[in-house]
Amino acid sequence: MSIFDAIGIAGTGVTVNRKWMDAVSDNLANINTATRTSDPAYEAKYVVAAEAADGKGTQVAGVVTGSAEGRRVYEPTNPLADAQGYVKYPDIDMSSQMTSLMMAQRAYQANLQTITTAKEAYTSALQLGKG
Amino acid sequence: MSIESIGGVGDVASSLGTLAAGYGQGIADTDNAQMTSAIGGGSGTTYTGSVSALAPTGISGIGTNTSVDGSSGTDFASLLSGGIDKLQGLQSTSDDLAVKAATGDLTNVHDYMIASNEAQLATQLTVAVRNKAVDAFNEIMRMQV
Repeated sequence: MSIFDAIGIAGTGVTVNRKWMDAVSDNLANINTATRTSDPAYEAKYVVAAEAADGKGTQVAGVVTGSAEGRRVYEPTNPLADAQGYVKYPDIDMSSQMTSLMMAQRAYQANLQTITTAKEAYTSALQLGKG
Repeated sequence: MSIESIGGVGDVASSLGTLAAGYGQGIADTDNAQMTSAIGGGSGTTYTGSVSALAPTGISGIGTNTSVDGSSGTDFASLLSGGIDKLQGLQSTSDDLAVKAATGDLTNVHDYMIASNEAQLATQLTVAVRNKAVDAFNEIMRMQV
């Protein structure tokens, strides 16, 4: 990865943004997951990015999870409802998740564009002096 | 860098000196010994200077190209074999990921695309270096002695 550093670095960015999209996808998939009030609600996942250890690119430093408290919703018809008729829904904000999704998508595409541009640059360097 | 010094238009003389030094033979034995030794000696000294100047950057630098450049200024064969070794490594990485893609073990789609692009670029680079070297060699062979 020494000659093509730009490509490798952008590759780490693509990886991080793919994981971010995975996390958002997980959150959106579970946004309507009801649980018993005695159980913890689904915890939203938030990917934390950090600079790579070798200083080349980025990496996922860890995943922060949201609160397991959730929102208590009165749904007596839900089979998971407790004696008072309440169930728990995860505390996930749909609009902020969609915003994160768009940011992850744009960042993913930006890194892919870096790869394309770097490849074009390297290819034109190889054409040097060929007229 | 050494591509340019070999392929450069104005550097045929130093290329000749380099080649003579690299293969350790020949032109000094011919009847034109005086002129050859002057060229060979001159460019040889210059080259040693630049090699020792390059050596620290070659070792500490991140570029394989640079380190190959620094360690084998007089030996084009090791430059080429180093490049081919690197190319082989990139291609085997790409092949491994291709197998993973086929078996469904690939976690990152872009990893394979990046590896295959890198292998492709490295192949093009190696071919370009080889073509330049062959061009320079042909140029020298056409030289009237």
